[in-house]
Amino acid sequence: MTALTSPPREPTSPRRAAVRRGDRVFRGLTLAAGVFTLIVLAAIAIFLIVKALPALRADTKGFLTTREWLPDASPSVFGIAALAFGTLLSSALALVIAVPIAIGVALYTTDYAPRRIATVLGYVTDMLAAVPSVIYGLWGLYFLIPHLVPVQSFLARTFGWIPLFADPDNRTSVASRSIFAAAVVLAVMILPIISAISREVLAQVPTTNREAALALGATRWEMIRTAVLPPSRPGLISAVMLGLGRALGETIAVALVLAASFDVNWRVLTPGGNSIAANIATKFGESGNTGREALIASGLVLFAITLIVNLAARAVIYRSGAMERSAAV
Amino acid sequence: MKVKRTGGVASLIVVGTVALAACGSDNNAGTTSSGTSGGTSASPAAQVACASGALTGAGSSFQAPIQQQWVKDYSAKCAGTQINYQSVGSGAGVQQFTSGTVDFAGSDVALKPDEQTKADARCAAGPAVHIPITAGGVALEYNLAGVKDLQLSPATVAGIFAGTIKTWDAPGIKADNPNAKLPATPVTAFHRSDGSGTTQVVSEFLDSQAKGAWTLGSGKEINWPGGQGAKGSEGVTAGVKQTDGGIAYSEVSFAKANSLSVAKVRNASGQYAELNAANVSKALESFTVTGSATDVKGTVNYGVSSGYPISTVTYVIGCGKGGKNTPLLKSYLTYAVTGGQAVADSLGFAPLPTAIADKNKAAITAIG
Amino acid sequence: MTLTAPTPTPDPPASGGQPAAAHSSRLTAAHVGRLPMLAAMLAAVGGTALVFVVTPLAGTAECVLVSLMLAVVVGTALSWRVEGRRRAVDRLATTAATACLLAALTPLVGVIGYTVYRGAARLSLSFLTHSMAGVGPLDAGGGVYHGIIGTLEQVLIASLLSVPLGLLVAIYITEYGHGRLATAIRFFVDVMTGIPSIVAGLFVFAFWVLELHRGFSGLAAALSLSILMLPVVVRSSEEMIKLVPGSLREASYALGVPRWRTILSIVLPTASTGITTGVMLAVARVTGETAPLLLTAFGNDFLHLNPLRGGQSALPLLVFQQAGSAYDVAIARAWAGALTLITIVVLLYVAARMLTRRNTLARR
Repeated sequence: MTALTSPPREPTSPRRAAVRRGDRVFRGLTLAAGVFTLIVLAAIAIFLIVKALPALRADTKGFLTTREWLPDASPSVFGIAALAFGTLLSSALALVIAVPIAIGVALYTTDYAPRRIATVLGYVTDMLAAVPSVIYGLWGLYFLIPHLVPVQSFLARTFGWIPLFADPDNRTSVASRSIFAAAVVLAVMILPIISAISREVLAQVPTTNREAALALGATRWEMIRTAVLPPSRPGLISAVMLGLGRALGETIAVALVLAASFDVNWRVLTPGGNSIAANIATKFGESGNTGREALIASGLVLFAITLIVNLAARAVIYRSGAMERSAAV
Repeated sequence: MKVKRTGGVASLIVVGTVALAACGSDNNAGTTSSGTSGGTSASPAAQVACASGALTGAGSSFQAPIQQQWVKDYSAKCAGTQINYQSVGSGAGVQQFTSGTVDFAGSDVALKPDEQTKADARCAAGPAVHIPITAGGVALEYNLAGVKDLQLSPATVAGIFAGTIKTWDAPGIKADNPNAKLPATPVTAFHRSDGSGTTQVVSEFLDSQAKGAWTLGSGKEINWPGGQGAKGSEGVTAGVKQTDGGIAYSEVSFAKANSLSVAKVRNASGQYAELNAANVSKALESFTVTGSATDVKGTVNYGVSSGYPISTVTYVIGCGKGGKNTPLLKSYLTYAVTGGQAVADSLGFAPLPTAIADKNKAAITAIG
Repeated sequence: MTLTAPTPTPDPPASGGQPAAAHSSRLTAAHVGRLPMLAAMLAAVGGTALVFVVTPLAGTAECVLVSLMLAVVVGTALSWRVEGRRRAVDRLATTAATACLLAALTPLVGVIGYTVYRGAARLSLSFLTHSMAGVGPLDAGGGVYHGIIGTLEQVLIASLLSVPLGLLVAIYITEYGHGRLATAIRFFVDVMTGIPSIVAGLFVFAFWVLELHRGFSGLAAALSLSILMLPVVVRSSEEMIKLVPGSLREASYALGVPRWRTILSIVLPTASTGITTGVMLAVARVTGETAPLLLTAFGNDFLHLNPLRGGQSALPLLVFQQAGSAYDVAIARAWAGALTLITIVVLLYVAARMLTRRNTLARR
């Protein structure tokens, strides 16, 4: 059953002409808004590129592979290898932690909880979004890190044979400001975004579909699996993308929690690592001219990373056929 | 009805906002300080010619507390002034001064030649000048169970922060502390992940005094081979506090506020000097002016034979000629380098030695 | 997707795989409600003790983990035995959803609880109605009044800029745009969600503050905040508008309502609850942003009411600056300021929900 995408043709008359004009004006307005957004984005991209070029020219070693950050030194040496790695790893880990919990909470709110509790639950999980990022950083640093010691040491003991969780110097026995800790803080930050939008999306599945599944004898989980989740998939993926965007660009919280270093640190339980946005935030205040331009160049890389990740996500959605469900491509 | 509800909420918001806008005030006259001696109206009779108007400054976080205190005391003396200093970092402060968005910058290091050219261009009628307005030492704060009076030589400090000294009972530290019971705890050295004037001072000190042990050069940022980076003095201090065996360099006020012990550092004559105002002032007597009579920038000798060796001055950079609201700037700076020096000790800084203060007064008079 | 169907296994022949066929077991379905819970708890306690005595496992985390695992496994196994595979899987899913809920609530309690714990003491009426003018670094007085006013003004202007624009863009890409332009807009809006806040601040600083010589102001801060808000508003509104059933639109066209009226009077109000959620999420996110404010609002110890000109303070900026100080008096102000900020955002949430509490499409 195809939705009507535009109103049917009608014979023209003065009143109809006015209506047509109204439509055209409104359409023009929305088109202008869309184009304006593209222009703003293009302006930001152009600005980043223009400002970044002098630094890239001044860099004496490979920008993509170097693991140091000394742009203001006399042979200017800086590179984003460790930064990009840390950004991707911490965001990926944050998604792995946050997405199941967020969608689980959304499902609980829409399908398991009694109605009154569901409304309250919605407010309460949204409250997490109200916390400013600097507070997440301070909470992470002063409260979470010491309390994560048993968790991190447990992971190191039990799963230390996996290189990801290895801890050869036994750093997890004391407070370890690791990528894992930063990922936990990021996960808490992106949880409300993913959960709120997922909740709205899941709630919009028609009750009739749910009831039909139950009438056919499905258990609640089978009803969710067959009637609720499949049509919600594009919306859920959008929710996850919004959360990912936030995680990639998070500045202050990561800067406060992660022990900054410029190694490519695979061992997520040991202190060390850095992210592009956190690096910009910490270095900006004291940078000289080349330093600022180098930071902007790293911002450009972050932009590129976001672009690539979004392309990949679009490929996933397209592949799973969910594109047919939405009106526009 | 939707209209009624929307109207109700909207009017509530409007009323709330109006009430909010009307009921606050800028008047904090009743606030008392909890320990600033001479910070209130009882400061020594510095005859400052008051001026009025508004000034904006930005820059070093190292000097931010004392700037804040001076703004408070100056406004108490001279009504009708609004001086707004924000600590955004020396580099950002200099950049904003050069772009003309602030009237003066606070910087821990003097302007580099290309920065000086740009700053001179910003000041319509003359060069940008440096005024060293306060001095301070960099503290080596540490957290080591059972050790209260740690002493360190430059070579040992270099080894700790370069990662070559890995445990607290290493021979280098033992040699500096023959009488202390040093545990075998591993050393966790915290450094600043953000570029910092404090890093510059420490690295310059190590570069000049620990030549063999320190090969990482000097600057606001260092390519640290190990240790942990943390953001801001509060970050490194939190790290040290949470880690037994931790050591970091930071402003002394952070060490004091968090009850962390501060190490004594050996100066060129072999004495282990404690970090206090008297020792910092003594070390700064070696300050040599490399600028001119109107531009008091200079260098500190880290190899002093008396006093605390890791000491530095921090500057205010303003327009020598053609700046905005010059009378207020002159009046404020004059207060800072005369009566304002009395509050230095209570905030973890040191009063400027007389030689520097006199040069400052002459340079400030020349501003116009 | 992380929620996948359990791998299909053939029903174990011995237990008689028909769902709810109780004749093959001594326990009836009537007992089943209580039994798994009881058995699970017993298993958790007893089994954990046994495991810890017999194996070399030790440590708090291991203990908690083992007891939870045992409870779940035993409960599910018992249910599988008595009720059959499908109901066992259903119970497992319910447990998982409840676990997710608890996992989400724990950090909430942790963060907000910790902020209340550290900030409540300093919070007072005078704290909310005084600025930091004339307060020295060691002084215990002062407050966040100027920050509250600054944040409210900046967020209001940012919302006025980004919400209408975002809605129009969302309407374009869902209702009008069917071609490459709409795809491009949607794609690049997604890319925009990943802009680090400080880059948005850098852009506005270089372009507005320096290039156009406008200087620091609340408006510059609002501009950088609206760059951050826009993609969230667009994406969430788009999702909500897409979920409005086509039948509503068709009914409206059938009645002769022009397209633009349909959108404004039918589609938008129907999606309004969801759109409000999206807008509130965006507002909540930018209210707590610090990094762009450093470069655009600059900060000010004095109350500054004019958002169009002159450095202005803001709550997150104030919290950030106070938290970087060594002195306890400042740190106490930072936490109390954070508590104030959270409260303001929660109040905004409540106000927004009150405004749009109607027109839900489906039962929640």
